[in-house]
Amino acid sequence: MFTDNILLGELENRDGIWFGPAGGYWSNLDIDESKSCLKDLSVQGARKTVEKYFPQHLDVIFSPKRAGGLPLLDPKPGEVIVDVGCMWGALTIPLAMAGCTVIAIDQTLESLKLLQQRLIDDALTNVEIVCSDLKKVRYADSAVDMFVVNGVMEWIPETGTIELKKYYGKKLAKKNDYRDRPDILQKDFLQRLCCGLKTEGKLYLAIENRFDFFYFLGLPDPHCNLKFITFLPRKAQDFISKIFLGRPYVNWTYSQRSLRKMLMDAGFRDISFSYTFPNYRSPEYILSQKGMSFYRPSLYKHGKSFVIKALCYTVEYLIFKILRLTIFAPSFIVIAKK
Amino acid sequence: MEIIRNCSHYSSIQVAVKLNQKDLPVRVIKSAFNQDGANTIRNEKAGILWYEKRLNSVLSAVVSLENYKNTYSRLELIYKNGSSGDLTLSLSRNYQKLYNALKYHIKIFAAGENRFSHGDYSIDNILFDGDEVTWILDWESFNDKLPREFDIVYCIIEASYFCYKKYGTLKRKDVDAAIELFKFGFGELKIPYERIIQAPASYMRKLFQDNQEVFGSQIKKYPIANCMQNDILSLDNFYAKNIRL
Repeated sequence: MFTDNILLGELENRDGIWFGPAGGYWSNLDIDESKSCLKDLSVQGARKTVEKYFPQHLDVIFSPKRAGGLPLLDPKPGEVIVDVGCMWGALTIPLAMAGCTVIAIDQTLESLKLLQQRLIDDALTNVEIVCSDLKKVRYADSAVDMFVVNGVMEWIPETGTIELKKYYGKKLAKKNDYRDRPDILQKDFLQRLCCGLKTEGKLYLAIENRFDFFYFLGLPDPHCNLKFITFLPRKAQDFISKIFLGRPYVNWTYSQRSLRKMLMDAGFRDISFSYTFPNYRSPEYILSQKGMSFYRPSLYKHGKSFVIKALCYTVEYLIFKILRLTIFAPSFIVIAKK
Repeated sequence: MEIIRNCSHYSSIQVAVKLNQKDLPVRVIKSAFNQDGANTIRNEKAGILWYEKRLNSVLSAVVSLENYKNTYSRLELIYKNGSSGDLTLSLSRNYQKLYNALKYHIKIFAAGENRFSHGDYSIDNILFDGDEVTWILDWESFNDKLPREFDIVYCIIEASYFCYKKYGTLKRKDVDAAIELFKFGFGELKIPYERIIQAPASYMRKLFQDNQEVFGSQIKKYPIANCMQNDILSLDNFYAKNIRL
């Protein structure tokens, strides 16, 4: 098993899944919802089970659009790739299809069971699944060709159980543990990835931009569902979050400059930013600064009325197409080398 | 690398361009991470190589093709300069481009015993220098199973459809232009066109229905194959109302 050579510490294999230090729970689904579908998985297969139990997530799980940023990585057969926070395998499966040797790590066992079934359905044997706390995984030095961190870094400071529907804009019944500064935890996480990379190995990091232009127009922060909070100074974020949610604001996202600095502090170099529109989860365009001439307004399509759509189209066209102000792009995909 | 299309029109393919140091596009890269997309990409390569053979082209546009089993493909192509046809213009304004596109199609596809079709022969997929065709793009639906007239009918009806959707109508001059195109295209193929132009949109729809297995899941990308039946009937009505044989 190739996981042995890459992950350090005690790992125990149960039913085809490796178990490391237990982590919390993170999912768009509540724990009960996640568990309810497990009994049907092996009988009906992954797709039919999802169609039956949570059809609203069919696209999130199976759409090939989710792999939109992978051509930036240019993965080659046989390369060792660790998908950190893989969830249902939106990127794990495409990477395995490309012939890479993939280690898929997540702390939510129920999500991994679904991924396990997807691998069986697609007859993919080049993936090993690890259930472990993402903050406690240790990697062997210079063992990995690429790390994929897709929409995970901003969740690193969070602990315990996150059932997203209950987490959004609501006070948590049980207070989680928020002792450490989010940026310290995130930097530590990145440093460990950097150590695990081979020389010339690459990190693929997808994360929202703290200064997404539409946050200034009232788009809610996708991590806590509060408006006008993401771009505020950290102390103000904490203050507002404590009032409305009873917890500090820990889902720290960054501007391009701050993110670059954090990556450099963590040991990365050759850091290149691409800007994703309308977001990194289901991107339509992924462009660098010099490729912004290819940009066409795309965010406005999500507007609910003609007026909003027209306004958004105008803003997008002006900000991104004419002025090319990528500091206000919705999110980043960063490729960084060790 | 700039990713300019991500699985658009229900495909499973990411399209990227690579820029040179002067920020000019020099390569097009198509990637797919599933079986459906990988098959399409391999099909595209076959189509381009066939096309280049017809052109007696010395330098191939295909730079490389990487495959892994049948689940991953990455095709790198030379970027071709030129501007593709604009389907937001009325059919009559697009007449010259459509005429030249049909003429070019006949030169490439109709010669000899050829049984191949492009499968998505829209002016949107053709590069022009002025009104002259310089290159055909997007060979993803290249095949040898469609009727000979498929590309010709599709090229005209797709332009009719977009004209109707943009302007809410097909004017007499648009229908006149379309009839001229039918006459020219079908005349060259020596296929009678009179019956078809009585209800050309329905005929197009039927061609899609009769050849569903040729397109597979890709059929979703064709507006004419997926639009409301009312749109088909409206298009046919515009033809019937304005037709002057």
